Amino acid sequence: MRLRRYTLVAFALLTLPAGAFAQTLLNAGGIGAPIEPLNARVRGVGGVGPGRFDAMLLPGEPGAAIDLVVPTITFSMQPVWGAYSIGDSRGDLRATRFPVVGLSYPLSINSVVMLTFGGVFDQRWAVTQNSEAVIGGRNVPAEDRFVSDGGVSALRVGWVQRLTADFGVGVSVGTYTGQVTRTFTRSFDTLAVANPITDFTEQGRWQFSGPLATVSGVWDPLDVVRVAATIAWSGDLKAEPVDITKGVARTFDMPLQVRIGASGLLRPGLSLHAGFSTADWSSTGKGFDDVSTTGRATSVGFGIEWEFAHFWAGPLPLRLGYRRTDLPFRLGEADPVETVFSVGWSFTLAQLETITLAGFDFAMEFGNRDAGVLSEDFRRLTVTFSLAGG
Amino acid sequence: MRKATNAALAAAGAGLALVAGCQELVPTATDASLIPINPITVEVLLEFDDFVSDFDVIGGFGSPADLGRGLVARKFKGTLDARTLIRFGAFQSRITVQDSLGVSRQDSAFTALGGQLVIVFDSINAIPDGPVTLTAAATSTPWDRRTATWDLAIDSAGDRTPWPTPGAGSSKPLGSVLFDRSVNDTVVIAVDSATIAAWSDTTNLSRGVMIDVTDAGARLEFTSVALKVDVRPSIHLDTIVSLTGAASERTFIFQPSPDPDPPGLRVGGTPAWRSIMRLGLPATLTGPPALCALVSCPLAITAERINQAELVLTTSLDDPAFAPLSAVLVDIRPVLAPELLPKSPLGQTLVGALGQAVAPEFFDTETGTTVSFPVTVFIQDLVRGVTRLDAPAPNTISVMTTFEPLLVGFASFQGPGGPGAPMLRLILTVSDNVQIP
Repeated sequence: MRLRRYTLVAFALLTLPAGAFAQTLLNAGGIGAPIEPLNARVRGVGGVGPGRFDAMLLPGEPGAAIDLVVPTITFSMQPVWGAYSIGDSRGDLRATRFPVVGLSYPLSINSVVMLTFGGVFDQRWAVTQNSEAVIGGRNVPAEDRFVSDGGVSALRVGWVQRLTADFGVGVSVGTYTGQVTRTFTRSFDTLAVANPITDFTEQGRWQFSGPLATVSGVWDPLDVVRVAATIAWSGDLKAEPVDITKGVARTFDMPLQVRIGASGLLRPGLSLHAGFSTADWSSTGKGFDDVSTTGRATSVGFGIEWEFAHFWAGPLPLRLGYRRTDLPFRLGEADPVETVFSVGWSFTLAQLETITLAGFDFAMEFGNRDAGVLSEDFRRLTVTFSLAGG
Repeated sequence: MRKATNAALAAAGAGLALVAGCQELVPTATDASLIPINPITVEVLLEFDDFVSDFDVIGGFGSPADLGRGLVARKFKGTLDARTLIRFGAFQSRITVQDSLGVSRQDSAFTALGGQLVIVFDSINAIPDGPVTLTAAATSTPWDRRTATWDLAIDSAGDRTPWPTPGAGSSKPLGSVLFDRSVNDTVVIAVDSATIAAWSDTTNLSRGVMIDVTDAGARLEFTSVALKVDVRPSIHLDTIVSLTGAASERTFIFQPSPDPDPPGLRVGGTPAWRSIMRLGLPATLTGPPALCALVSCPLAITAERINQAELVLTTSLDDPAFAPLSAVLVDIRPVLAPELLPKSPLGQTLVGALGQAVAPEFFDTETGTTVSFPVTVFIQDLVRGVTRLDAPAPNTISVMTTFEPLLVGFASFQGPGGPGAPMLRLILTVSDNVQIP
């Protein structure tokens, strides 16, 4: 009964528009800014995905769910506050998105299946400029506005199997999903003319699709060490025009991504974590008109977690982390880089032996993005809620 | 544990609602280079023959009886004669008076002693400035307020009865009075008791009063007419009671009628005129050179590209006697069934519920002024072929006044063939398609 209720909650969350809210002007570059579908625990220690000791649900990381021995649902919400400057223009960033939604069910003590939904690219951004049109011999002021709204998400099903006491593998397959609507509007100043002038609108909408597959390996060479790696393959990302869109379909060659992570337990309650990911985006931007890809983009992060107290129903960990991420699409000449320092903690509401049945994880990231002409400072809070039980 | 789990669910829901309620800001740049398309807005003027395939002027909508005003004129602008006909309804059959004991009683045996016609003029539009003489005469021929004309007292199906002499002639003179717009706006003309008695017979269709002006060049409109009747009660013979009745029927007759085949567009008047145009736009534009220097020609005209469409008309003076004396509220409406003209149903106004006011001097001292009327929605539908409700798009418009009739005078605009012929001004924005990168 309770599982059914959890399932309903999970699928209700699946309907939320992951990646529908903008967090950076870099969304204007290429096919958008990547959304890392990481939860608060991973972000708190600067991780990139795989390799943590604790079991969790992460989109595109089936190996992370190893040992998730009770049915679990999880979702994250991520408000962001910040400011950007591009040239002489300055503005605020404020957005909320839901980068991680997942549901898992153990087939046995060693085997778990899962369904995850997560953002891939955020494509929400806008640009405005003032212009003029000569009408009846007079200059009529106008405002041009281009808005891109939407993004690419991924829906995956996965399975992870512990093969031996210290080794397990996971696989997932899925499909890209999501839509983007790109709208240009020219609005005329109707106070300058006798009769109203209707806006000019040119719009296109594209539906995304394409296959995804992931293979993960999790290895515990020592009782105090875990190493994990993920290879994420992607078929072409297809953008098909829908409705009356006059724009053409596009196909984007998506790169193979490799993610490696490792954790080490220094002493009970104190662990280190490090992660690395890389992908070569060179071929993705071959068809772009006026943007270029940065080529190989790498992400490196590390952090520490210390369970320094016990609070409510479980441990109270404190996490500190650092992560540096190359972003794949330029907005100007310079390669964009995101750097964050993070602090995280958890609040366990219910725990049965070592299994967290209900809890919140928090990660607060303080970061900046530097892309030459564009500079952004931001604060990003990730709140992950997990609920487990049968 | 169940308690904790329920608390967690509640907390999750609250958090979700909290975050979902956060205000979103779309990061917005002002760097024009980020806009991936380069739209160009141009103005195009289509000549009459390029967008009008058929043109007609139709009159006869409404009648002077619908205007709610009276008109008198004598050789106004050298031509226009006009007289107003008024008929009053039944007077009160009983009055209430007090008897010698102070008790109120109903009295139906009172005696009419005489009366007064009280006429209130529109002093602003009265011509000339100085005094003019007005006359009143009792009509002696049956007349119909809806069909009476200068020549005919009745002009209905099966009954065409002329006046004994044109202009409601052979009427019995009642009196005359001087009116000076600079002094007041009301005149009073005495009516004798015999005439009052004759007018009290409501079955008599010849009853009524004809108002005229005798000074050449005069033209006056009046807004209200009342008949005050003095009666003596049968109870208190030393008491006079005044009864007031408003005109129950009113119309005016005039001559000559405007030329039924005007050289250009005609809008308004009484009865009202409409100018009908069937429109059709070219699919593409291949000029003028100034346009093709900005955009690639041939340029397809599509509904999405049309930001504004205006019908540009040039004012003219068709008949000086019928030039409007106050602002003309011009309306433009789609003709939904042109084959049923002049009785075709019309669509929603393209100009606005109040119409577009065009100043009277544009049809008098400032003729040749161009006036633009919005027809954007109509033109967009016409180009698209269907309306926004997916109904077949109408292709014909009626240029008219917001109410019919609205004024005695009508608006005139230059017709095809001249330098001031109607034009269609289009504001087009041309752009390449939005693409995904």
